[in-house]
This record gives sequence, structure tokens and C-alpha cells, in this order.
Amino acid sequence: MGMVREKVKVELEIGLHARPAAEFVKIAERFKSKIRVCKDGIWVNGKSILSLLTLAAEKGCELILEADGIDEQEAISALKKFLSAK
Amino acid sequence: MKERILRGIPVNGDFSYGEIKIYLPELPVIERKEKMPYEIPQELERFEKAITLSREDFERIYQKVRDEMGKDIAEFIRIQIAFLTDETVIKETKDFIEKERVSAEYAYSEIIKRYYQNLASKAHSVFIDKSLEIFDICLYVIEKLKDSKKGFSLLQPTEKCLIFAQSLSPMNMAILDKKYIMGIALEMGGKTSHISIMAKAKEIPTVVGVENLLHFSANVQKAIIDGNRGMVILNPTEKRIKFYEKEKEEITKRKKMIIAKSEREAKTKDGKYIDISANIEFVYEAIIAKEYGAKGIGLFRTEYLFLSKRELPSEEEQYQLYKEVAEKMKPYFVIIRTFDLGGDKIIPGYFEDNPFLGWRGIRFCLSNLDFFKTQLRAILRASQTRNIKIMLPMVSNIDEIIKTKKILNDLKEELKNKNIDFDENIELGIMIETPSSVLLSDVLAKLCNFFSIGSNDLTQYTLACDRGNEKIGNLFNHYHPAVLKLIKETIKNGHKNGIWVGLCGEMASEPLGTIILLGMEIDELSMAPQFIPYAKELISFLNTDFCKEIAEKVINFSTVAEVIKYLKKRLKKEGIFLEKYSYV
Repeated sequence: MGMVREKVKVELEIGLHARPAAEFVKIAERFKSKIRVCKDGIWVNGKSILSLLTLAAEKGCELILEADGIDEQEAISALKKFLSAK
Repeated sequence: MKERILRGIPVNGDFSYGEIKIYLPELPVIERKEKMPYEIPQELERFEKAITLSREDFERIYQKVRDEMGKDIAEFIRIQIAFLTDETVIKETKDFIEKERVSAEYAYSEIIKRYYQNLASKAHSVFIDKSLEIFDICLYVIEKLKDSKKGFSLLQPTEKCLIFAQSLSPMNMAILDKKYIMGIALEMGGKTSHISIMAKAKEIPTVVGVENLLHFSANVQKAIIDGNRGMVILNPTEKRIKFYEKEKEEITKRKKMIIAKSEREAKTKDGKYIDISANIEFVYEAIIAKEYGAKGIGLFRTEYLFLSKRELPSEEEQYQLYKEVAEKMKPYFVIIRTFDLGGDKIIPGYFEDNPFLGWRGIRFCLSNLDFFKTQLRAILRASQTRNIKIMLPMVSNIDEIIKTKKILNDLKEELKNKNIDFDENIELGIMIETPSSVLLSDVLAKLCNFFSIGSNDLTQYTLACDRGNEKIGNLFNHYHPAVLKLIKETIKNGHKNGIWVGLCGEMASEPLGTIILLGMEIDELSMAPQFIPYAKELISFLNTDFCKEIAEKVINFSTVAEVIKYLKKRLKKEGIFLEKYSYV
């Protein structure tokens, strides 16, 4: 089962608001892997900005990142780095 | 109907009188249209084509906004493109068409509605305000589905009008046609929201933050938007309209006359030149500054970059922006002031009891070295244009310059090793805005290439007076003899050490200030672009000796009242009427 999951705390000052969400999608699209993001049990596509916005992920909340594909490890670390950058 | 005055936040000058057009967008009601199975492939194709065409349009608008208003503002459109090309939304729409066998219009509007409702239900306001933009996109794509040649039915009036709305999306702002939109009044928004920034760039009279605007204007036909005073006047009386027309006529006449000569040099009657440059915050302002005859940018504030995003813009992003401004201003100089956070420019998530005496300006930067280095590296890289200078805010100790110089030298080494082009001789200057820096200016001048006096903060720190505090705001006055003495001392010490001295506070743009500063032999005055033509006009009527006489005299008074009284009397005697030279 090639799939990676990791918990990450959102450190972005304004949370996953439109601009950071657009940035997140841009990073996610660099990878071939399927990417999903979960908050409070709701999973959404990590390459969809509108879906990410519906999570209303504010600063300090916890997300689960999931990547599935040939570059899953790289994808997870890039996205994690983005979300936890202070 | 009776006249009613509503107050808001003034965003952009001048007034407009006209018919009100209320813009209250709603999600379109699209009727469910069943399709036959053989029609489904065609629906899917139509939908894909509509997205592609819309995307092309959006990209074009992005380019246009970027060219006209700069990359920073165009960023708003980028996000809308991300909404439009959202892969999940596209996939869900296609699935919907196939499963339910319905028209593309219906499927798309249903899917968008789901997201819209979901977002609107979120408690946090920063998430809600995006719903408007999603809206725009939905409307756009649906128009495209109906008619692929059609552009927009968003906000394109064909007759002159004033737009009243809750808020406007960046896309709407970007396509606004100045020919028809004579003014904007909104319920939402602040001075630094995207709407305000774009309204300023387009020079449309605008007032934002008007409470209950739509409620009160429901049955009103005509109104005045006064972007100078921040007022919306519903059903204005004849008298009121006359007053505004007269005011506008006078302002326009004076403006025309003075702006026509904005290209000239700033030269006194007796032939002394002085640099008049502009204070700016955004890229588009560089273009305006040049139009108004600025011979440089005396203060490029960079905090907006940080405050608008609430996060550090990347080195690359900063580099592009600095370079863009520098290239636009060639052959004139651009002084980039490093981040001046703290004070009234609050650092998100950080609180202090006494922010003006706290962790601000250079102090903040020197304790966040990564942050500071990123900016300095971006500035150095941009300095390949050879017209950039660096300026440090809030310097109050010698070691702040020494430390910064050390960092700069290390960065220069690093760039050299990587063979990256930059200006080896880039000038480093400091803001003089604390009494301690004035008292040490003789020493500081030996460590840097120029001084720029920040008269607003220097006044505040010298008089120990917060201008924002209503109870004591009247004590704040840069014509206080104590402040004038410090300014004089700074200029004297700068010149003694062979460096030039400028001033970039509000005082520079006030006629009285200009006269006193000229008399103190200031080398440069930096001000908001629209004041420049007026300052040049005034300077052309002045004699250096006359200004010197005034400058000598004013520092010997002991109160502001005495200074002002003397100035008025002396100017009258000389036949100089200041009203002629002030903006509005």
C-alpha cells in the first residue's frame, strides 16, 4: 500500500485563506501523486482550492495530509513545510 | 425626498454626482433542463469550452491589470483563475451532467451553489468574503455557456452612473470602465482593501465602509459621492450640488494649470534646484508619480507587501517588485525603505503595551535576521538597475547601522560568489525620526550616504505626543520650534559631513513646510505624488534668501502659535498666498 499520511498543524498567520490556499494548490500540482487533506473527519482534494477553503482551516488547527503516488514522500514534505512555515 | 448624508471612509478624491445603480448580485436561478442521452457528450464539450474560453479571458484581464496596476494588485485575479480552473469543481460538474442528464448551465450553477453555501456558512469572516468572487466566476462561465462571444454581464453599465454595492470583487474592479462608473460607494471595505487600492489606481471617486448604504438608498435616484470627505449624500439639494460644482470647477482649474507644468524642474526664482520625489507604496503609484513630475521615489514603503499577506513575501516576489518600480522610475532614483513594522503598523499576532516605543522598524528587523536578510538580498539583486538606494527606519543607535552594514557586506560577498549582478556602490541611508538620531547625526552621517527626515515620527517622539489620540492630537504640530530646531540640526550635520538630506513626512508637501525647509537648505523633498506639481509651483515663486530669513527666524520662537503668526504675516507682506499652492 503505497500511501503516506501525516498530521500537520497550520502555522500560517491567516490560516488556509484564499491566497495561501492558491499557493497550496500550486505546490500540490507539482506532484503526480493524488493529494487529500482532512480536517475534523472531512476529506477533500488537495488540488482543489474551493474544497480547501470549505475546510476553513484557521491558524493552529490540525490537518491530516495524504499523498498517494510515485512522488508521495516529496509531496508530503513540501506541503507540510508550507503549512508549518511561521 | 429629503437629503440624507451618510458617512464612510474616504478612499479617493474628488466628487461625483449622478444616478445611482445598485449592484446586488445574486446567484443566477437556472432552470433544470433535462437532456437526452445523445446530447450529453455535446453538453460536456460545451462546458469544457466555456471553462477554457473563460480562462483565456481571465488571463487577458490578469495581464492587463498587471501592466496597468502592477503585479501586487494583479495577484487578486490570480486567485480567481485558481477558482475557475478548480479540478474538483470541473469534475463534479461533469459527473452531474452525466448522471442527472441535465444542461451544463444547470449542473455548473448547482455545484457552485453548494460551495457558495458551504463557504457562506463558515463563521470566520475571512473565509466568507471569498464567496463574492466565486459568484463572479459562476456568472461569467454561465454567460459563456449561453454565448461564447460574450464577455461579461457583470458590471458593465452603458450609461454614466454611481455604483452602490455591499462590496465589489477584484474582477469587477478590474473591468470597471472609467467612462461610465463615476463613483463607487460600498458598505464594506477599509482603506487598504483591494477595492480601495484599485479605485485609487483608476482614480475613481470612492467611499467605503458606509453603514446601511443600501438600506437608505433603496428608493433614491440620485446622489453625490464625496471621495475627499468620505460622504455619500442621497437626494442632494440644489444648493449642495451647486456648492460641489463650484468647488470642483475651482479645483479642476487650478489643477490643470499647475499639472500642465509638472514636468519642469523644481527651481527657485533665483535658480536653486531641489529634488522633488514621491512617497509610494504600490507599483502603479510609480507611474502616477512620474506623471506628476516626480524626479525619483524618496520613500518606497514596503510594509504593505507584508501586511496585505500577513506573511513574508518570498525573495523572488520582492525582487520582481523592487525591480519593476526601479525600471519604471529610470533614470531617477528609488529609495526602498526596509520593512517598518511595529508602531501603528501592527505585527499580526503580536501585542505590546507601548508599540511606538517598542519593537519596530530596524529593531524588529535586526531581531528577525532571516526576514531582514531576505529583503536585503531582494533589494541587492534588484539594484542591478543601478538606481536603487536602501533606507533604514527608526534608527536610534549607532550599532544598528553597523550591524546592517555587516549584513549587507556578507550578502554582497555571497552574491558576488554566485556571480549575481548587483550595484556594488548601492547607497545606504537612514531615516531621522528619533531625537536621539538627531543629536547623534554628526556621528551617524559618517556611517551612511544620506539622511531622510521622517517628520511625522520625529514630531511625535520629540513632543511625546500621539497624533492619533483625540485628547492631545492638537499638540502634535511639526511647526513646533523644538521640532524645527532638530530638523535644522540634522541638515547642518549632514552637510558638514558631505551627505545629502531629504525629508519625507507630511511637512514636505505643506507650503509652509516647503518654505522653511528650503530656507534650511534641504536637498530633497519627498511627498505623495499629487502634491508634487503644487510644490513645484510654489518653489518657482520663492527666493532662497527670503526662505533663509524665515528659517532663521522661526527657530527662535517658543510656541507653535508664534511661528504660525509670524509666517502668515511675513508671507502676506511678500505677496505669497498659500491657498494657491495647496492641494484641495
